[in-house]
Amino acid sequence: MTLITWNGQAQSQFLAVETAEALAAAEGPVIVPLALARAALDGRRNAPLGLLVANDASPDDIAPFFDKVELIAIAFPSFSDGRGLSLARKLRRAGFTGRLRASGPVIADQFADCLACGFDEVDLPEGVAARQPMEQWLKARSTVTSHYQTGYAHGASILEQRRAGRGGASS
Amino acid sequence: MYRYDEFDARFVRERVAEFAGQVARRLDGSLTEDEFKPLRLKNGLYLQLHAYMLRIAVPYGTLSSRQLRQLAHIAETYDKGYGHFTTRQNLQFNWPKLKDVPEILGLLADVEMHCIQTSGNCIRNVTADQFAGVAADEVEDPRPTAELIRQWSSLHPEFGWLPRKFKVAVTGAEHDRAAIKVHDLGLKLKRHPDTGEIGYEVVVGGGLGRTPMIGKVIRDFLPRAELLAYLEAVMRVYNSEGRRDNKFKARVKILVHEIGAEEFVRRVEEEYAKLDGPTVNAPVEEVERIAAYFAPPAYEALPSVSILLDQARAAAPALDAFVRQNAFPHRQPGYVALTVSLKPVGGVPGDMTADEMRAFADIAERYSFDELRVTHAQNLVLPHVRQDEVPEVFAALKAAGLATANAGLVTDIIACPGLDYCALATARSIPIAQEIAREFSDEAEQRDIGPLQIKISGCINACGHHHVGHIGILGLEKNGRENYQITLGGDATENAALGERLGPGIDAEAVPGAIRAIVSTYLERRQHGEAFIETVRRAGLDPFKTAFAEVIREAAE
Amino acid sequence: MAEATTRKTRGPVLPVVLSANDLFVGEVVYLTEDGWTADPRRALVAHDEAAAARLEERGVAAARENRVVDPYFVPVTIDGDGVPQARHIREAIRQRGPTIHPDIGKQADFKAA
Ligand code: SF4
Repeated sequence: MTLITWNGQAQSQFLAVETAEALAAAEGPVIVPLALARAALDGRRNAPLGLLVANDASPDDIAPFFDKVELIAIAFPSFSDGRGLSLARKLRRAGFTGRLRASGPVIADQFADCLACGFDEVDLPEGVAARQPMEQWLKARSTVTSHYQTGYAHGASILEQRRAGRGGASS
Repeated sequence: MYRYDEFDARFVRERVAEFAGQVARRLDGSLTEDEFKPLRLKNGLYLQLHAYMLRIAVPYGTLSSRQLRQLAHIAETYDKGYGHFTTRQNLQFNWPKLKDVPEILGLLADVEMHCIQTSGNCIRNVTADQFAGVAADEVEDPRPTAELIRQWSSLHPEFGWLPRKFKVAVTGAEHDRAAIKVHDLGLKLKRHPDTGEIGYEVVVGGGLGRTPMIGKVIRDFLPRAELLAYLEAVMRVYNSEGRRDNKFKARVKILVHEIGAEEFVRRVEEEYAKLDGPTVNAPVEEVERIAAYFAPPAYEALPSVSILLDQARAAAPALDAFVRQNAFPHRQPGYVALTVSLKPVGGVPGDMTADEMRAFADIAERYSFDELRVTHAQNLVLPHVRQDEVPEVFAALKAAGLATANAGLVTDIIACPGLDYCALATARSIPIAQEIAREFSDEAEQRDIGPLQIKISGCINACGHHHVGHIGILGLEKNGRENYQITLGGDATENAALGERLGPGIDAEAVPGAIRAIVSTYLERRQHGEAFIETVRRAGLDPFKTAFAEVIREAAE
Repeated sequence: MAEATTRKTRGPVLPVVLSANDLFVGEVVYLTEDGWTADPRRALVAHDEAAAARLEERGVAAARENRVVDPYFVPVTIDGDGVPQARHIREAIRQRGPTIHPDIGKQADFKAA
């Protein structure tokens, strides 16, 4: 897996575990599926915990863990499945302030949108990462410098910039 | 019409650069074909039967002369000298090379145009009434709303990877010329019955294709200021919950159908209550800024009737026929809107050559405040012509080969590209349209038959909107041969209805005869000036089925 | 194609040619002995399954090398002049060009001399 953040490539300290046995055996920070969240919290010492959630998970089921986990990874089964983008928005809106990760075969062309919807990082399978080197991700991040939509994490929207240009503060 | 400010201009340039980069990354193997395909589609680029096809957005169908001239230039330089206007008010080029597309996009950006979201699983180019700002039955011009949605939906960070495409149409008029009930989302501008305030009726879940459905009203009255936030709520529900397991069940109409309109409304309202509306919505000043671009042109104060035109019509039957058929009343006294048919008998519906584009651009510049419109019937409109000048305009159109007086008649046929161009087609559409037009080429007969919409699709995807044609024709394949199903009684207006099949499919050669039989049945049965669709509604399908069965029996002999 | 559905063996109805679209240009192309051609008359015809398999292998490789898109078999008959003619109407139109524009497409570009 290759981890890409706003600044470029990074190292993930989290180990993905999928079963209770693997969880019991693991040392250090782990990412567990939502179903193992309780067990991981009950059984673990102070190592950081991450949650892996499906892109159709209910934010209500995830919210109880917001202040107990360091990271939430939303699975992207394929790059063309945009549900994860809406789920990220909902988790941010519901108050999650920890690290939000897109996990799956996302392509560089989606990096800016992932960041705008509230993701901090993308965790890529090796195949995609090998084809799309880091400089493509960094370039794709800022090819389009302004967007029309307000309320997304992509800086001041064009509508806001126009308003600023008019010198108006409030509407 | 709307003009780009510095932000719009930069945005479109950056999008061109982004696409150029995507092409380069496809060629060097960074992107696989599976990854590149949705990226190119989001920029209007298909790979069709013979070549790439580039679909250019004509937002809500409005163009200037300068833009049309640029399209003519592109047609000549990078294509084979012609373009094709589509049922969604866009323009397609059939032969561009991938290597030229970034350059073409640059030329489009030069005239404030683009191909953004003319295809792909995203919010598509927004369509509107072709008589926006002209029609007398208009509560308000739909174009400012359509432009606001165009901007808001462009490269939306959250809604670029929807389960399927999402098409929006806006009308401001009582009579629906934008077919809002057969769109994923339709908006109708209306006045609040009590307060008089302007807002929207919101319709969701209409669509044609393999499961045609009429949309449901999900909000009777949405205050104007809340538009974008409400759309965001609709899109978020659809993006999260629309089906992704089966591409044929992925449109929002299926979601609405499966969970029920009431439940859909509940989910949208629940989402709407949670989101931060004031942040999402456009400020009043922005709405006003956009609306200002659509202020009426500088009309002259004129008498409502032009004596000059009346005299010219009395002296020239061809002019008279043209005006009677192709003129649409203008709300401004002394003006008229003229439909310019792209359906000459024997022509390709919606096709226009570069020469015709240039000639037409000159006419629009000189006689229609430099503005023209594209209709979803694949015709053009000169929106603001002085009645006094109609004879001159008619002469100029005639010289350009654009004066066919058949707007709304049996030869004004909508046809998708079909198997002559389209990779998905099961049968040809254009030759069928041509043969029917030849069958009814007599102009006097066309006028006697009166308003009649024939719509042809070359496959179940229904780009030719056959379900809502008064007569619909669907081309399929049967035993390796093209085969055509005929439906009757469809309607795309505020009385939206889906056509019903008349009988088994028939061969291409039998289609003109079958249409002739249907029309004859109408002529026999019509009462006091009834239009075709009215007779069908009153008399029902049976007499037409009988006539159709007769055609099939004869063909079998 | 009736033949295709009634055949019991796997693989295409023979004889076949291999067609695709050129990635960079978009044009319909056919595989020949020594590369790709836009001229359908020059397409290499496979008369047996082994030859078809060789065509397919080369097509897959060309797609992998980002030269062409979507290579696939087109069943043909050989006409009196020895030219492969696509059997199915879709492929016949693809091989010639739009039926409504005899002046455009391969039918105009590669008129028999
Ligand atoms: S209806 Fe079918 S044949 Fe016609 S343009 Fe659409 S996809 Fe192509």
